Amino acid sequence: MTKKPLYGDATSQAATRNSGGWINELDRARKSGPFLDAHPMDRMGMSTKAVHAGTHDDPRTGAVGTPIYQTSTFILHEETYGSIEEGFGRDRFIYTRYGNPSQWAVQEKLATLEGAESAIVFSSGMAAITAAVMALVDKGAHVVAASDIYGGTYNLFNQEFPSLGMSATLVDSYDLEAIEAAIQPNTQILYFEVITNPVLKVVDIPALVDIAKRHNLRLIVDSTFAPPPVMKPLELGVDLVVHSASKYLNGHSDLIAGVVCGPRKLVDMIWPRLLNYGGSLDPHACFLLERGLKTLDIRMKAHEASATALAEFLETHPSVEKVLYPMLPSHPDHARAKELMKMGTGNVTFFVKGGDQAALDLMDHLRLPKQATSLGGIESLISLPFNSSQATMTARQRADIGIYPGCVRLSVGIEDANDLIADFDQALNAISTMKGAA
Amino acid sequence: MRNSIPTAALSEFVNEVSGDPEEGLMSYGIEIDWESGTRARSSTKPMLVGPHKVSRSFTWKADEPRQLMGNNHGPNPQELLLSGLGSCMMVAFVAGATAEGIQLESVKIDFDGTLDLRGFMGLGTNAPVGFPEIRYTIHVTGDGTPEQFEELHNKAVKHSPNAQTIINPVALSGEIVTTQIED
Amino acid sequence: MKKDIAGFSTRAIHHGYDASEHQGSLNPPVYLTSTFTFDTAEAGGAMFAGEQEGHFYSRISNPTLDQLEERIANLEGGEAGLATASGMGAITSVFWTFVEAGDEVIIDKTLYGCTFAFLSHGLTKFDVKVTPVDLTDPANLTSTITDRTKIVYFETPANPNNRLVDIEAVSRIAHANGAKVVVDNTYATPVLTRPMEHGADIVLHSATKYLGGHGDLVAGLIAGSTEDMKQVRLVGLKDMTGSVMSPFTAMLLLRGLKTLELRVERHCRSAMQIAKMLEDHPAVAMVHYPGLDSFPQADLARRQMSDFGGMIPFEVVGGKEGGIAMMNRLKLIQRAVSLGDAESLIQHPASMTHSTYTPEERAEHGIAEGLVRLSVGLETVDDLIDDLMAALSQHNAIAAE
Repeated sequence: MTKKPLYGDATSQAATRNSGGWINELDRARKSGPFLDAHPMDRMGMSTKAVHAGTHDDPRTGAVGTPIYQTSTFILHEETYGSIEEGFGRDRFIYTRYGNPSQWAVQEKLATLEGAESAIVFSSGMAAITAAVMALVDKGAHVVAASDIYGGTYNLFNQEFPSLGMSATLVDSYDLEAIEAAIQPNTQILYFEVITNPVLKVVDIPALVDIAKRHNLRLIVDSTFAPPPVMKPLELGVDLVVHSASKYLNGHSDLIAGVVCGPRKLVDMIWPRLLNYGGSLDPHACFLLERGLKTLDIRMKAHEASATALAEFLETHPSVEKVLYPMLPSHPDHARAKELMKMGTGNVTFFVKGGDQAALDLMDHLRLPKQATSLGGIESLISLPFNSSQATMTARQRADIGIYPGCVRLSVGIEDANDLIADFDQALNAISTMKGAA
Repeated sequence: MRNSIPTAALSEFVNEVSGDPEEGLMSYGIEIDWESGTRARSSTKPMLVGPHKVSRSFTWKADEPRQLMGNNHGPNPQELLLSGLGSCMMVAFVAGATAEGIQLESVKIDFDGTLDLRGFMGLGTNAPVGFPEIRYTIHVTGDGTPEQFEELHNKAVKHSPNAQTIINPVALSGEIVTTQIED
Repeated sequence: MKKDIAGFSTRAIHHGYDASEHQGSLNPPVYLTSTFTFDTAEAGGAMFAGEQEGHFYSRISNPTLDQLEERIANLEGGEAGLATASGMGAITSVFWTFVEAGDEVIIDKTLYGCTFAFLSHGLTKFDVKVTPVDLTDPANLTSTITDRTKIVYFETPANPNNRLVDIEAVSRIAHANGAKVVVDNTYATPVLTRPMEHGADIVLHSATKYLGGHGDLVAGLIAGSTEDMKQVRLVGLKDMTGSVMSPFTAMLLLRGLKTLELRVERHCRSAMQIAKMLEDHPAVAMVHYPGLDSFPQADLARRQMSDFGGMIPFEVVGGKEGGIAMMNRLKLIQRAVSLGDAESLIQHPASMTHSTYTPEERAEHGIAEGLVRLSVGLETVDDLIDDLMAALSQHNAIAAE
C-alpha cells in the first residue's frame, strides 16, 4: 500500500515551515470543522440541512447514512502521530473520547443547523454546559447569569463555582440594568437561557449581545427551548450556544446528550475540557441523535401546530386562569417573540383555577400527556413546577419567578391537536365539576 | 504537541490577528500596594486578549534584603525586572523553536546585572541609576544546529516585547493623586 | 491445523477486517442502512444484473453482514457465509433453495421442535417427502436413501438429548447418492466440531445461542461453498423467506464471536463437572453428556468433538413430575428456553421446545417425558452445583416420604 492513510479531516494539515522563519510565516489558518466530508449547505433550507448535513455516506460501500462507528479506539500511524505533535489532534481519529466519525457526523449536522463553524456533542446537556463555561473562565472569574436558569446550571454556579474560587451573580433576565450593574472587573461571561423555564420569558438576546460587547465579555446562551428552526442565537451575535440535545434536538426522549456550537476558535478551547472532564457521547447515541435530527424541522412544525391549537383552546376554557405561550398575543413577550422567534415551540405553561390541588386533579384526569419531567419529545409531557422542577422553593420564591399556584408545565408533543384538546377539555371539565360538587 | 505548544493553534492565532488586528491587542494592568517598609504586594488586573476579558487572579510580593533596609520577604524589584525580561525572551525562544520544528529538551537563561547604588542614593557621581548592562547566557539542549539556535536567539530578542521595551526608549507617563491624612 | 493459519480466537477477533478501510476504526462500523447509492444508473443496473459486485439493498447484502459472514465462514472452514434473522430463517432459507416438489429429504429422528415441525409438517405440504431416520446408525441411511434424496439433515449433538451423528460416515453415504449434507451445528459450535472438515456441505446455526452468547439477540448463520451460499442468498433468503439480519444484530454477533472460544471452554469445563456431579447423585436417574464414560456414543464424541459442550439433558427420579418439581426449586438457574447464554437456563423439552412432537413421536424419537435440559452458563461452577444440589437434596427428601 503506497497511499498514506489519513483518518479524519483531510483539509486540516500542519502549518508549513521554513527553516529560519519566524511565527508570522506559519500558514495554517483556522477553518470550520472538523468535518469528515465537505457538506456546503449554506443556502439550503432547514429540513434539507436536517436530513443531509454531516451525514457520512460511506464512500467505500455507498451505504446511505452514517455507519455507527462502535469503536473505542483507532489504528494509529505516522500521520496521526504527526497531527498530535503539531497540535491538531482534534482533526484526526485517535480515541473515541477525542473524536469518532459518528460524533463528527452529528456535530456537522448540528453546526450546520445552528450556523456555527464547529460543534461538539457531549454525554449530557450539563456536560456541554460545564465544558463550555469552564473553557471561558479563568482563576478568580465571575459570571453573570439568569436567576431562573435550569436547576443543574444553577447548581454549577451556586455549588461548584465558589469551591473553585469563582463566583456568579444571578439576576432577572428581564432586568438589563441589573445585569449590567452586576458586571465586575473579573466578570468573564454572561450566561442566559433564550427562553426561560417554566414561564417562557423570551429574553432580549440582542440587548445582552450589546452588553457583552461593551464590557468585553463572552455571552453563552442555552437554547434548549429554542432549537434552530425557532432561533439561531449565533446569528444574533452570541458567542456560544449550548443545548440539552435530549430535548427537541433528539426529540424522541430516548437518549441523554448535549451540544455546544460556536466559532471554531472557542469550540477548540472547549475540546480540551471534554477530554479532561470526560463527557463524550457514545457512537450509538450519536446515531440516534443524528436520526432524530433528520426530522427536527418537521417535528417542530408539528409541535408548534398542536401547541398553538391547544394554547388557544386553553385560553378560552373557564377553568384556566392564564396561558403563557409566546406566540399568543396575551404573552407579555409576544412582540419580542415575533421578532426573535421564527416559530413557536411545544412548550405551553398555564395556570388552572383552584391552585396546585386543582392542577394535581387535572393531571389525574388527563389520559394523553405523560407525567414526566423533560420536554421536546414527540409525546406530550406534563409536570407541575411546585412538586418537581421548583419543589425546593417556597411558594413566595416561586411567585417571585412567576410560578403562581395552579401552574402547569406542558411540553406538547406531536399528537393530533384535536385529541389533545379533547383530553384537556374532559379533564378540565371534570375538575370544574369536582369544584362545584365541593 | 512539540515543546507543549500547539503549533496549529499558534499558527491559527497568527493568521487570525493578521486579518483582524484588534485580536492581537493585549491590555495588561498591575496594582501595587505598599505593605510595610520595602515590601509591596503586586496584583494583576483583568487582562484583555483582543476585545475579550480574562480574569487574572495572581498576587506576589517584592521586598529588599535586610542589608537594604528590608525583611527579605520576596524577590526585589531588580530581580523581578530580570525575571520579566527573561521569561518573555523564553516565550519567544520556545515559540520560535516550535514554529521551526525544533525539539527542545531543556532551556535555561542565566542573568546577571550589576547596579551601582550611588545613582539611587544621589551621591553625585556619573554612575547611572539603572543597569548599565544586563548579561545573560542561554543554555539550550535540543535537536537544532548551533547556527539555528544562534539565529533563534536573535529572533527571540527581536520579537520579545520586554526585551524591546528595555532596549528602546519607552514613554513612562505617570501622575499622582494625593490625599492628606485627616487629623 | 496448518502452521500458517491463525488460532481460532485470533481469527474470531480479526479475520477479514481491515481498519484502514474504515477511518482506522478498530471495530467495523455498523451500516444501519436499507439501501446503497450507485455511482451511476448504469452501475446500479449492472449490480442488479449480477454483472458487477457491490451492495444495492440490505435484504440482499450489507457491509456489516459481509463482515460477519466472512468470519463465520472462516471459523467453520467454509468458503462463504450467510446471515439470517433467526436460526429457523437459516434452516428454511436452505431448504427452500435446494428442494422442490417431488424431492426427498432425510432427517434425523431427534431435531429441535420447530425444525421438526417445519420439515415434517411444513415442507411435506409442498410435496416433498421427509423421512425421519435414526442416523446414530449410518446403516439406517443406506437403507433409506434414494436418488431423489436431495438433503440429509441432522443435528449433532442433537437437541434435546445430545445424541450424536457420525458426520463422516453419513456424508460418505449421502454423497455417494448425490445428496447434500446439512448439519445444524448450534450445539457444538465451530470451537468443538467443524462439520465441513468431516464432509458436510452446509453448516447452519441458531446464532442466538453460543455464537451470540449473551441472550440478547435472535439470529441465524450459514456457511458452505461459495456457490451454495450464493444460491441460498439469491433464492432462499432474497425471494423465499426474506429472513434478513439487522446490521445491529450483526455487530453484536461479531462482538459475541470474539469471546466464543473462551466462553465455550468455560461452558465445557463447568458442564463436565456438573455432569459428573449429577451422575453420582441418587436423585438423578440418567445423564446424557457426551463427556461421560457412560454416554453410549462416547467414542464418537471423542473422535468428532474436541470437548463436550455445555448442554446436559438429564432425568431425575420421579419422571416428568420429579423433573418439573426439581426445576421449580432452582434459585440461580433460570427456567427458560434457549441456550448457550452467559446465564444458566433449564427447561422441560416435552412441554416446551419439543412440544411440537406428539407424545408418540417423542417416545419414538428418544425424547423422554421426564427429561430436563440444562444449559450450563458462565457462572461460577460451585454456585451452579450448590443450586442443583439444594434442589436435588430436597427432591430426595420428598421422594423418601
